[in-house]
Amino acid sequence: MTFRRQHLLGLEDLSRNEILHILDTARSFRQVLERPVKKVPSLRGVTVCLAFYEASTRTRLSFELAAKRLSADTMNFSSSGSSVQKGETLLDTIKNIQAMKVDMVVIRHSSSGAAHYLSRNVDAHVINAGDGFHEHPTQGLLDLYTMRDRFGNLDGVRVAIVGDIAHSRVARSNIWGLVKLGAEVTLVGPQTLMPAEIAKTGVKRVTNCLEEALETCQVVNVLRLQLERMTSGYLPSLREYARIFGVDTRRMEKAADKIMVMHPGPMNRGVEIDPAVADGPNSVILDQVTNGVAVRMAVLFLVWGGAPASEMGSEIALHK
Amino acid sequence: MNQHGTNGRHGGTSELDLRPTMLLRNVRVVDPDGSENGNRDLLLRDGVIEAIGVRLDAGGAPSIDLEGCAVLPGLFDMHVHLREPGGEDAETIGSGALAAARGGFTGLACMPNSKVRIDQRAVIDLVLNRAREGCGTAVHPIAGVTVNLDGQQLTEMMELKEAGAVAVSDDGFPVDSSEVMRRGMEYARMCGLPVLGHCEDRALKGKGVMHEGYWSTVLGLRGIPAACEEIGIARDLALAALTGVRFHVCHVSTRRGVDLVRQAKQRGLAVTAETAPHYLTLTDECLRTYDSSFKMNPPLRTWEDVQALRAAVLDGTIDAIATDHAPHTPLAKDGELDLAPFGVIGLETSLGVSLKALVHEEGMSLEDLVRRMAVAPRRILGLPGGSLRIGEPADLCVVSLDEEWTVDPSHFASLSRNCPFAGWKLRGKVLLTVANGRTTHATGELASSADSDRAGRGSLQGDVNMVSRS
Repeated sequence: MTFRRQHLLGLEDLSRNEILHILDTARSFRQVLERPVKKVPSLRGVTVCLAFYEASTRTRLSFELAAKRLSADTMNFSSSGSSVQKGETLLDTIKNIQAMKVDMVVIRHSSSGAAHYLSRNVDAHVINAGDGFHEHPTQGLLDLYTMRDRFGNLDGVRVAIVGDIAHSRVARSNIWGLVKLGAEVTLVGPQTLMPAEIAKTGVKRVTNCLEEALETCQVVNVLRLQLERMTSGYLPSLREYARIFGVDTRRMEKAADKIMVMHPGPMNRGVEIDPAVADGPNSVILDQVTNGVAVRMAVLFLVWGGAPASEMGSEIALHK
Repeated sequence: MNQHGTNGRHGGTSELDLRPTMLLRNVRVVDPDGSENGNRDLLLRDGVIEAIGVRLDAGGAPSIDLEGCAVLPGLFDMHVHLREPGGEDAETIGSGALAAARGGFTGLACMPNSKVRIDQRAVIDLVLNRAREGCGTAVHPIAGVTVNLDGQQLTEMMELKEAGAVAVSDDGFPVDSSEVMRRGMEYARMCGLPVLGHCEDRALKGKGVMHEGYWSTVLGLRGIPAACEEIGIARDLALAALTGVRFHVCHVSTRRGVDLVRQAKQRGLAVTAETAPHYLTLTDECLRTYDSSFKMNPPLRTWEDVQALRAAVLDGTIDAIATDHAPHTPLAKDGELDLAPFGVIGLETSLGVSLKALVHEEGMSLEDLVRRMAVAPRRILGLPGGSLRIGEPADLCVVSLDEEWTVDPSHFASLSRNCPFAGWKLRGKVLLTVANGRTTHATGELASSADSDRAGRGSLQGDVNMVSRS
């Protein structure tokens, strides 16, 4: 198949086949990352602007590296959310960047829908690197990639997502991707951080009981708890959160031996995840980071209009 | 488009004072409070309805066959934000009055939350003076319940009423304190003013930007639960019962809100309610493209709410349709959804959208639509009118019932463009509006008749609303 999307704004409106196509393409790029020379010329001459209106380390570096591995030129723009009070500022900034003949914009923004807004107003290809609580599609894809690496096929795989579902773009992208690929998703978290009518998204189960989820699931994806949730009245204390929803060694004893532990980072060690679990044998947290580069290479490549996955292997091979 | 605002403000009264003389033939008269209904001729002479009857003699007046058209009492929008004084880049009293005329409205009531609040006599005087300089749409100011709409100190309601206020409301900034709201209601009752309530629990709304439900979850936007409105309505109805004030619930958007109003009416409270055309047609799913043209407060709800609201308008639980016309400049409105202000414009689409939602889709009679859009709003505010009376200045609009048109906000008289119905095909077009005997809007053949009328008066530089639109 050919990937026909001009932008990647989220996983909600992608088909199962489109998602699989991205993941298959990523697998080819993942091999590139194991070579002595980790670079292909696929996007030579293409300029990618990384516009980060919200703090990010991992995602920005991952995108930058992905673009560079594809031989694209990159430019960085970062701005604190507080200086961006109006859409015009966002639009003007991007239009100015575009006037410098940028081909692709990777945007991270604190407003849900910022990537949609941009995609309607600029000519460049837009890739959403996280918008508000809406979606973080490349994180979702790299999580899917990491799970597929283990299970091959995600049909019927039981995945628990634990934490602040309401304010998590990672949760949303994971839910759409997992449901489309046939996984059985269990959402675990405090009731105050569970968004309205979340059951309608196609998840299998919504629960407040972590033990029960750990006993039955093959994967547990632990979300970061934003510390400001305490002061805004969602939770009584960090201590109580860690006591009820922290993934710790005691709880892991009841989990399946091979349960895969994931976390999108950055971690609050000792809050949502115990260091012994984060660094333990079940953790694939650093694999996620490596896979992230390959997935973002695939996304940049396909959104730019790269060749179908079947032909791509040979194209990459050509430039070995 | 700027010309509209300028004209509204500076156009000379005498120049705009067009008193039409024409015979409207074969027109369907829809007047719930009148004796002449059905296909009739209607003779206007110098702005006065001289006769309504069958096969009338034009007596030298231009005669226009209006088969397929209806003549309705002039519509009245009881919930409009005109932005002036203080927000003239979004709307002026002149441009808003003209937008109203285009939509078939001959009168409107404007909310006090202009940048300069309508909370003292001088501001009411200013609004009324501006309105007099405008195209002729009647403008009735609504004053604040509290000074600066900040929920603390009551306004001088007695003086404000003498100056022309028809009601009090802190619309958009509901009085949070039940104690202050109680005293405001008691005082308004003493002054004989109805209280119009934007019913909302603001703490529960928090930073919400859309209805809380499946779509807010999908879109990752902070939700405003239906309970936010329900709590507001329930509290204000309890206070209305306590104080005996005439209380009007603004822009009902929820199913349960409808139930609360219905129960209050059954209990015999002096309660009325309105909803807006967008709540009768659109749902929270419209926000899936993050288009701020669908962001308003209260927010668009679910299809179940839409159905309950339609049923409530049909059975009269909801007395009035009002637009909550809320102009914002593109500069303010266009951008990230969570940063955009709430509100959409509605004066120029209200009738067309209401015809679609209620008459075409639900089988409501035109008489009932006129009750909701012309009669009830005036009664709620204690104003006369809403009927076609022989011997009195005409206050009416003529609607071509089957004429289709496409909503194009770039042609609106309103200075703003934040319309959620852009691109919609609507059936039923306003051809002529006459407010208190004066033509405020005319198109096509009716415009040329008006042209012949004004030809004898010399040039009419101020008259832009008469431009015929092809």
